[in-house]
Amino acid sequence: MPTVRLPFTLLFPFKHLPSLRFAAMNPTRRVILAGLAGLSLLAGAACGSDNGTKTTTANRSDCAKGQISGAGSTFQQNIEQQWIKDYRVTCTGAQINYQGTGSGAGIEQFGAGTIDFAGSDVTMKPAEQAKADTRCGSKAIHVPVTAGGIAVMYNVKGLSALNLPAKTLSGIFQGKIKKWNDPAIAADNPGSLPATTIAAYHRSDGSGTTKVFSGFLDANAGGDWKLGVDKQLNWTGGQGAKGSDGVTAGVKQTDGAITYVEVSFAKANSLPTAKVKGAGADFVPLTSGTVGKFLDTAFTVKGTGNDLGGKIDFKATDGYPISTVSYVIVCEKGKDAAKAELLKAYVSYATGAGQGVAESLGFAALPASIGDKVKATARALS
Amino acid sequence: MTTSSALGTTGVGGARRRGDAIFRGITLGAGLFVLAILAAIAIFLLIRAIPALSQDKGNFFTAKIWDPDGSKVFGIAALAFGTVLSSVLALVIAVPVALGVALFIVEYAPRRLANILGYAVDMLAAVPSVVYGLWAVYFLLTEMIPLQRFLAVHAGWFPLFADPEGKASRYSQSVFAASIILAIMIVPIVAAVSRDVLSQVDPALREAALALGATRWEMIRVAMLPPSRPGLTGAIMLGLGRALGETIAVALVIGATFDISWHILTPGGNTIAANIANRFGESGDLGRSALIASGLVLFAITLAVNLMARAIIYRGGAVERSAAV
Repeated sequence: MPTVRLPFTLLFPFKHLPSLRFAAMNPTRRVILAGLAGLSLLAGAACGSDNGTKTTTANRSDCAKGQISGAGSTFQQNIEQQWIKDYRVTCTGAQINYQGTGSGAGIEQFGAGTIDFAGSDVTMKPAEQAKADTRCGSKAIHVPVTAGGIAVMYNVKGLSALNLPAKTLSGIFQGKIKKWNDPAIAADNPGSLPATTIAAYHRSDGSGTTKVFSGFLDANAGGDWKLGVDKQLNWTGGQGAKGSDGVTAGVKQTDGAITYVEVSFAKANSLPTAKVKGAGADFVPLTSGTVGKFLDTAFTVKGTGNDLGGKIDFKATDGYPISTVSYVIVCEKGKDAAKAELLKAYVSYATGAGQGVAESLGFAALPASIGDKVKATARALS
Repeated sequence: MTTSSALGTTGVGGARRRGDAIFRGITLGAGLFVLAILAAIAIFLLIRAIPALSQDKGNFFTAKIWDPDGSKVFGIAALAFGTVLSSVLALVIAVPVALGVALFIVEYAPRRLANILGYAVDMLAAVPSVVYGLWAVYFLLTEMIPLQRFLAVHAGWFPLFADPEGKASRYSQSVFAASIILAIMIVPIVAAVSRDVLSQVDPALREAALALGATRWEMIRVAMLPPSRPGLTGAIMLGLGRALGETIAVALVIGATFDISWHILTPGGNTIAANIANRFGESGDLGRSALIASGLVLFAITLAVNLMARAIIYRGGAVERSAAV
């Protein structure tokens, strides 16, 4: 019965399954393969970092020993990494981890008690707050740690400066304005505009960037913006790509493309960014200064006591209007004294001396209006 | 089973028999363990999906929106459509290539070349899927632009290649891109299994065909393909299973829209697995539950495909056995 063998080779195709063959390969070959894969990843990661980043150092008095881990917001991942690196230069006894899993996942993990602090671009919803409070046995509070602007980055041949009011941006990202020489764009951009078709890139994954951008449009486009405000939208036009790298790659490849992205990606790829007008009278470029200026008046604390969770009023008129703050969520009184001490030390460093690295990483320092309050809150942690 | 017990009774003593029993126990345990894991996954998916399914304000099977955390309206229609469309297209592209590779290795290639080629195919399968995805985003998608333009211009009459908005001739994250990258990823598995199936065709059959004056191609057609059909079907189904579940590579190259569109060159498209990867991190409680519900649907689709493959293989096997007798 030779033919009976056929089904069996299929049911148990061990030696044919390439993944198993990979496992059974001799070690050197496996190492080479894995190495190649690793190299290609490194090469990918290498672009976009290390262009003269500043460093800061923590005071020795800020040092504590132990191990804490955080997770959440991908927006603040780069600055967290830098803080951790710098902090450990002085405070060698500290072990700190931060993983950019996304704000939602960070809040979930914090509530479940698997991490010591969460990074988040948004404040917790009531149900999440309740869960976090239970976990802490005290109040779970939001502490703003960094701020940043979302750049409107574009790649259009022959266009090196661009002015875009909220209404025009809303039309572009909903697919209503289709060509670069559309009268709506021409109205704010004198001179000749190319007839290129617009390719508007948005994030296909859930992202705080999308929430800030849609929040800005919702407040300032005068009812033209129909997609609501959220981390992920049901887009009606344009093109989705995964992650900030994804939209950047798309824009870089496409003449006529535009997207919203953390400003560091525009800098790293030498792509121009537009001046934007919200409720104010002028078109404002994105700089660390204009972001701070906007948040000075736009950001108001809504939390009580040490909870500095707040709201951004996108209708504020000064500065660059697509700006936001990012928080860490921590227990006001930690259950584990050793961990609480390190957490207090680390957050104090991040909100104090650590602010010095913000600008070189594409972030903005915390606005002056809340800077002192934040520092005091960090010191009050226990 | 009967053979093993027969061996046991004629064995050389108690120790041998105990060893046998222990080994049998271990293998039984391993088998049950797999079943237990499968059951645990199914139960987990079901339990975690229920909150979302019961709170869904849209129709879970027909809605083309995914907004569980906001308006609580979400549905699987667009996602399931995109999953099946991209996987089937991947098969259409991959199967001819994979069969060609398998036939070439078995029938045409000199032994040395066949070995090298066999290893090369397996190497393709060892590349992590995220690397495929990154390669596609930074290289393949750019190089594909001329092909997209060609298809849109010369085959635009065919609904799949239609380009009503004139967007096919630019860099685009689309169902087409996803299908191509999926095809590349499933060629190795389909080729490896097909190669094995084809190489086990009874040499007597092949020699008989050649002796009757058949050419190589005729021999392949009459003596090799028919008896291999169930095996080849199984190989294709294994490939389909992999394509349906592929996550990160697809998430990187898909446009992530929620509509049912046949225009594969236009930016957009989505799959269940890619949607989970894209949205899980930033989802709230209900959002996560909704994603798990979509995972349940994917689980069901994959299970159905696997069962279908088994059915085809067994039926084919039975037919052959009766023919052989």
